[in-house]
Amino acid sequence: MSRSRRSVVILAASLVLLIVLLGGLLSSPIGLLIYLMDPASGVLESSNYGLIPAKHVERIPGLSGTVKIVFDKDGLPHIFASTEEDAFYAVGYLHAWFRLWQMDIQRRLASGTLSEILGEDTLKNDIFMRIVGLRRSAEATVEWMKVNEPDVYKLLEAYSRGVNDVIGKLEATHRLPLMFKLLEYTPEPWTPVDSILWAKYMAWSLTNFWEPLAYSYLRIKLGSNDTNLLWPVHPYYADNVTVMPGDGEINGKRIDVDPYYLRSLDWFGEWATGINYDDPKVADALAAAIEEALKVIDDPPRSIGSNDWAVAPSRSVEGVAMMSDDPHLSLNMPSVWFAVHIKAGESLDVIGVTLPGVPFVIIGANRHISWGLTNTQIGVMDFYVEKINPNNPLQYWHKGAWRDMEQIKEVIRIKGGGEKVIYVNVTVHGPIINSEGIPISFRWTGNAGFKNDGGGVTREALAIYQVNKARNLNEFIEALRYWDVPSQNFMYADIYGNIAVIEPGLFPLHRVELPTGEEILVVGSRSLLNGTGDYDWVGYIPYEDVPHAINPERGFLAAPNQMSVGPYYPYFILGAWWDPGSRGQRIFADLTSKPTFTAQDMMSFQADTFDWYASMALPIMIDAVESEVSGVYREALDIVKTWDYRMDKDEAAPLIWWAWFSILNDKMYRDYLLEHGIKRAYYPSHDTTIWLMRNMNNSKWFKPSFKKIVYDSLIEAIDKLAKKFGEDITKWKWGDVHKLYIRHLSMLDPLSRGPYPEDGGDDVLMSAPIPWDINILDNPRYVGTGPSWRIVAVMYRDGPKIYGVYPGGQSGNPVYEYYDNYIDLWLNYKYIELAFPTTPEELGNTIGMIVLEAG
Amino acid sequence: MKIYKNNWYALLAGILGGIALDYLGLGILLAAVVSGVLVGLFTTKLRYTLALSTLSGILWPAILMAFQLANSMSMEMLSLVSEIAGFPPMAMLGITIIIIVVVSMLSAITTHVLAGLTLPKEP
Repeated sequence: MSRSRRSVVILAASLVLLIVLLGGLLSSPIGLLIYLMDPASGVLESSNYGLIPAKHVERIPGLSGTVKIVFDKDGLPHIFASTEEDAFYAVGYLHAWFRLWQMDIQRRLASGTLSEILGEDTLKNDIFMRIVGLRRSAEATVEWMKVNEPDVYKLLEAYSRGVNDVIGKLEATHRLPLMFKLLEYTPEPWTPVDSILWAKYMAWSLTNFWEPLAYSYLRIKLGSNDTNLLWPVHPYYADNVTVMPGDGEINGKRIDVDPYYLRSLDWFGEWATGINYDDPKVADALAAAIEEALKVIDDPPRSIGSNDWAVAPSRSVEGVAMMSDDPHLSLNMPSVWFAVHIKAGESLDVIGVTLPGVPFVIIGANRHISWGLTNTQIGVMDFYVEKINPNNPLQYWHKGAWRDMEQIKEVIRIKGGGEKVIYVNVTVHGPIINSEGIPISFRWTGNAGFKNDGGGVTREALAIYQVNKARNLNEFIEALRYWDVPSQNFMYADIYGNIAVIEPGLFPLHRVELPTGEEILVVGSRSLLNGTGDYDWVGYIPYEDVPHAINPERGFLAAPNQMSVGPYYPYFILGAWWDPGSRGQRIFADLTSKPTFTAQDMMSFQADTFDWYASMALPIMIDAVESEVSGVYREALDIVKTWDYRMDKDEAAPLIWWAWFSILNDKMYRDYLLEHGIKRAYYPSHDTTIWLMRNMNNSKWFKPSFKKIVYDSLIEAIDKLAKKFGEDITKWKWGDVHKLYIRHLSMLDPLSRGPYPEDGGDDVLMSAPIPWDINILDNPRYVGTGPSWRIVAVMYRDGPKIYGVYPGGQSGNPVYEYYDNYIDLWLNYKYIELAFPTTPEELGNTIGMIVLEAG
Repeated sequence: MKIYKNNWYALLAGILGGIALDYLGLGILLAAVVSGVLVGLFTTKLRYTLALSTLSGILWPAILMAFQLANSMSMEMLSLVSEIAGFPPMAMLGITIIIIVVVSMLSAITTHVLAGLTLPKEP
């Protein structure tokens, strides 16, 4: 071969190889590996993301003065700015600096754009979120704010600028967080709509109560009597521990119909819903439609809740008001919360936790007041059966005429190419959920808006901004006038010695004509409603009449999601998914256990693992089998007999109780539900089971007899535990089954933390639920929700002392010490005293600083 | 054997070119291609092209990685990503460097042969 021919062959061969290699690499997992391992811009550089700098100085165009951000020894940033715009710019800067991927994945979750980065696996969620339409409502809210609340809008804009400046800087220096690189994408710019969107999603996640759908299904399958017995209108044990002290009278108003008569009514009746469940054709068609709807929403399990309470100076050892709060949310890495202190000139000086993506402090304190939140659990979502024009499927019947549905086109892009186009049909009530069967639409206050016009405008950003600045109880109450969703129990204590609880929010009212002919206003529903117009919302409870209490005589207030009001509240609250009362009963017992309390007592109540249900049920269960058992079963019984009902991780008794009661519930309800064609585990709540045990133990729920079913449950429970953990009961521990796993938002195990054996349980103040399902002995299920933030505020007149902790860390960088440094503290019920300096110099021990100079 | 000095320039150009382009954010594969092109342009014989593009393809990413991995957090990040990927860290590094070497070498050969008539030859 000649030299030139050889050259041509070499050239051709190397070119072909090169092209094949490059092409192959770019489309293969090896290509991703090489991209990730790029030493200049790959994942190694992401280890430099989210660090607290010793001192970082930067010039920022648009700032009106220098902003100093000083980090104390616990990693808590203290922002010192001269204006509020500069201060909230800095909050955006910090959120993006430490939590950028979290912010991005959250907005994708809320707006239904996960599939763009995750592919087909998340398409179902995206379709659902496009139907719900939070982004549409967020956009409407921001447009309204531009015109009506321009000052707050400017703060959201400043926050967005802070986020976007950090995005630009991270991109330029290849330091985007790890997850962007693993998923091979970069973030879009942040906007005020994104902030409102995340606030709306939080509201949605706390108030998307699907119970009216589920209860309608149960009514169809089980009939009225059993449904109303097993899922009563109001919980069996709750009237003595309502959030608002007293019998429900407010502003001199009382309901003028006997409330106990109202509770006894069948609210599935045609008079209340416009639906004839007794017509088999109607019932079958509705059951099919509900099953379709539940497929779309995936019927999420609900084990969230929260605790908050306050004590007056008269009940405090130091003679000061104290406030305690621990919202129970999903526990994830990174945490849903980011702690910060924001000081802007003389107008704002607030400390507490923010939601990454939202500029304002959601739970915290300023120099004058402190506040905490729990869910009211009052239904703010109704479901309507729409009547469709047989000649035009895009028309529905409403108030005597066929009306056109609004049809919204949504395009969902999917990673790897392709897109899914859906059309969301919206009636006057809201979007239609199901695509098969009788159309069911839903109306949610977050989409209905404060004008109840379906426009989606809500004002909670304005409200929380004003709460951040409030200097006394009157300003606090006035600020909450604008809190629309989610309806919350705002617990309050101030340095002047006041305590209060206010339940602001939009509580929708229906006008209902009772079987007696009387007409009353009812809040929410427990059934599907006829959509032809008679059951539409006629307004909301006026703000002056929302449940509230100020400085009660007894000297304390508590709102762990229990029933809000006594029976004579002027509006009949029908649709409410209150905690049946176990945590309410316990905190009331705690707060009446002695005359005065300390901050340490507040903390120990947050860690209280006493199970009120166990204390109600076990004596009866033990009594039923006491004379029947021997051997290992006797040993087990002796352990629970001497138990103090505390769900402590190192004890065997909580494990025995959990297993015994789980199996008892299974035996009571599983076959009954299956016989009626219900495959989902819709078990009644524990208070109902206990009420049945105490009041109807000769009924069909205890077959063949109460003694036998309780005995069989014990034997089965102990056999299963012995098989799993051995015959030596002294070695059994609740923490062997009950473990916390703090899952990373990506679900990747190496970025998650745990599992940790954990105290607590489903029905206790130290909330840590796992399913009441004995099968998890073989298929472990971890605790995934719980106290996402614990705060105790002691409101001394010369300045509050704030203690707080959350399970996680400030930084989203998984290889940084501030990623998870609070977890051990949190697990051991320890707190950080949050430094609350008035100047940067007051902070003695600091670990870093960012200085943003006006450019 | 006397190595013509252009070959040393070629090696230097390959290393500096790789580091600079990767650092500028062009990505590791494009940096490898350009680094190989630089070696191929300046080497005087095909065997030097092969040898020096291999050497350059090992050295420039190794230098960059050495700087990165001197930081203990980067080492932790490497372990973490390795755990996520289910692949040993050293294997990830090794595969990356092998790919860079191969891409760099093929680019160098292509360039060397293409440009062979116009560039100075070893006497």
